[in-house]
Amino acid sequence: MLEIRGLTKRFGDLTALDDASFEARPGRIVGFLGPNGAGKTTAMRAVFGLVQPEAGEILWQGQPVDTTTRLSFGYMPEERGLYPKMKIGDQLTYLARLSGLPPKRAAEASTDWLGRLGLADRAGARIEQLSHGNKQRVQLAAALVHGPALAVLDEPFSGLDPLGTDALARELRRLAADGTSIVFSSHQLDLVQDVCQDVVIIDHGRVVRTGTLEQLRAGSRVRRVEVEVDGRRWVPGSAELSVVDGDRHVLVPADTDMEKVLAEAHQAGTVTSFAFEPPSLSDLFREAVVR
Amino acid sequence: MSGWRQMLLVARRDFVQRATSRPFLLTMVLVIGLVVVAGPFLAQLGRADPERTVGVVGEPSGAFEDALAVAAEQVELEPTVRAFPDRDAADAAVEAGDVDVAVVLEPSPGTLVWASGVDPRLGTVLLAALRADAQSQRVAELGLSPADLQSLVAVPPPDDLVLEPSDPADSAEQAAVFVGMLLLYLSVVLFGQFVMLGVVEEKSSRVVEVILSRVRPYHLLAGKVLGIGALAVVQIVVLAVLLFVMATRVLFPDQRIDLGVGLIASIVGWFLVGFAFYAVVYAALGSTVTRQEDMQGVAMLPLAFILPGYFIALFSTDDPNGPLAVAASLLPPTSPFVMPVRAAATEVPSWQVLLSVVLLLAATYGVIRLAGRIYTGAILSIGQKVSLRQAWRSSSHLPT
Repeated sequence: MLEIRGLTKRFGDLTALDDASFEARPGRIVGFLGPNGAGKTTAMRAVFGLVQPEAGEILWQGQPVDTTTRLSFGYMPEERGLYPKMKIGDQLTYLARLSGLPPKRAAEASTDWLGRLGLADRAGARIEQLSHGNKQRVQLAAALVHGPALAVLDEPFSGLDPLGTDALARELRRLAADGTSIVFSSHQLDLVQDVCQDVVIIDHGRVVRTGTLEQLRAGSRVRRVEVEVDGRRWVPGSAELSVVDGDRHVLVPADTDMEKVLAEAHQAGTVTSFAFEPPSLSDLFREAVVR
Repeated sequence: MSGWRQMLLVARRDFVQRATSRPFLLTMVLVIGLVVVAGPFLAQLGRADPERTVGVVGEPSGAFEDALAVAAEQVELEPTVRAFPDRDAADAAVEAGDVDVAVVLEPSPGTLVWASGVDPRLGTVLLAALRADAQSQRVAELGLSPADLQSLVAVPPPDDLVLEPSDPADSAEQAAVFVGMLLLYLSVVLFGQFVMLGVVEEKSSRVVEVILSRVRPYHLLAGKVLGIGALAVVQIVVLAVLLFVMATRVLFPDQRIDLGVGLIASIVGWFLVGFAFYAVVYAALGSTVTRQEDMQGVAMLPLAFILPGYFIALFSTDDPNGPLAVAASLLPPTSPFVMPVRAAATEVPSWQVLLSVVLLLAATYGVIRLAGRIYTGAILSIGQKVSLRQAWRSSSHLPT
């Protein structure tokens, strides 16, 4: 298990991380969310020693993380990049060896990952010869080729088409099923909701929400109401409206009586659709991140 | 996986990638081609042709030809004499280049006809021959025999006494050191820039963060310098063998060139420490730029130390114990260039060699620490050019 305890990091006047704490448990996928500049990348870099925090500690299996422990971690940085002129098969083997795999196993892992990502016949290709989606796949393989116990992926879904997104989500679930701890950041909240089990929301360097998706949704102070009367959208007049996001969601306080809303809708006409449910991750995110 | 193993992996990758890269192969082919083509050409230039043809108008005495032969031998010329019936025929032969000079004996004291300029060696030889010719005529006029003349003017040749005979091995050693320094200079600049290019490529391709999540910056930097340094050594050995073969077989086939193992070890040793020093300087500077277009500017900076070192080394051969040469041979960053040249030119006290090596190693260690820190600070500031000061500051928290 990865434990981040009270991490604080300043760059000059900017506080990138402010007493941030969260954890990543084995076999679970953590969605790491936050607006741009909230401190996600800084926290991820800190795990790999690329940023040295002023305060706080990073523990793996209860022990402080050091150079040797980090070799059992895999990192996909936000800034993508591999050696442009090196064959991708050689490149993956090289990275696996740098992470400590013996030569034969490194070569096998490289071949295995290329096959798994549908690039078995491209081992001799150079990264500059690949399509964007395939580059992204190789980048993921670069993070995972050595079979890390913890995978930290910075925006792994950005730039992927829906098919690529599905493939990556499938791969992450499979890794988690094998016991890997996964932390990934993303702006595509619907996607995160489908993939992750645990959520960490960070804002201005502070962790503002953390827990399982269910806990966060259940713990929210609002409920989402979607009602159609006579096939048309209907907004309850009696409820205290918290947020009206465009014309799609109506959020009401969590203690609103659902029966009363339904009764009110009945009076307006024939109810053709009615939803009263915990908020989506997007709603939770907006609620948590005060702008 | 220890840091040392990672360093060797990095070194091997950089060695293989660079060795198979087009710029490296192109440079290698060019340099080898230059040596192979230029060697025989230089050999032709250096080997002066001793043969001369002398046209003569008039009847030379036996004394003329004897004196010509004796005087020519002293200056290593091999003249042959061709007789011409008159001045016009001789002039035409000079103009056509058939003869190097025409000697017109009458009227006394004679005329030498040259094509475009006086050949001083041949001129001296002819002067001696003409003088002998005139003397023999006067002697005949006076009614004396050649033996009488000998007794009158003969002066026994002086003895030659050489105070300090030059050892041909010494000059060979100096030449080797000189070629070695030239190679060192070229290699430091060329391979230092390869190190810099490697750093900039990792930054511009952004692979550096993937690598640094596995390897500490210090080991990445050291591995890079090691790998490209090994490539430099391979190139130097290939070139040195080529130059040696060229020198012994083509340029000076008659001379025995015997270089001590110690000398070669000293050149290679100084190359290694000198290269390590400058390579980390190049790496640190490379880490402050992101794009290859920005590299040219900072690539010039190390030349500010390398060029003075090279020129001081050149002048140190004449005055190996002058204050400038001594200071430059002791202190980095000029010592790797100057000390080997001084050591070949004169007896350098061993404490000076030792001090020079210790100072250079200490400076290399210092620069590696400094470069590692700048490298780490600058390399993660992707997308912008970083001043050395900013890099130093932003890395102040990082382990080096």
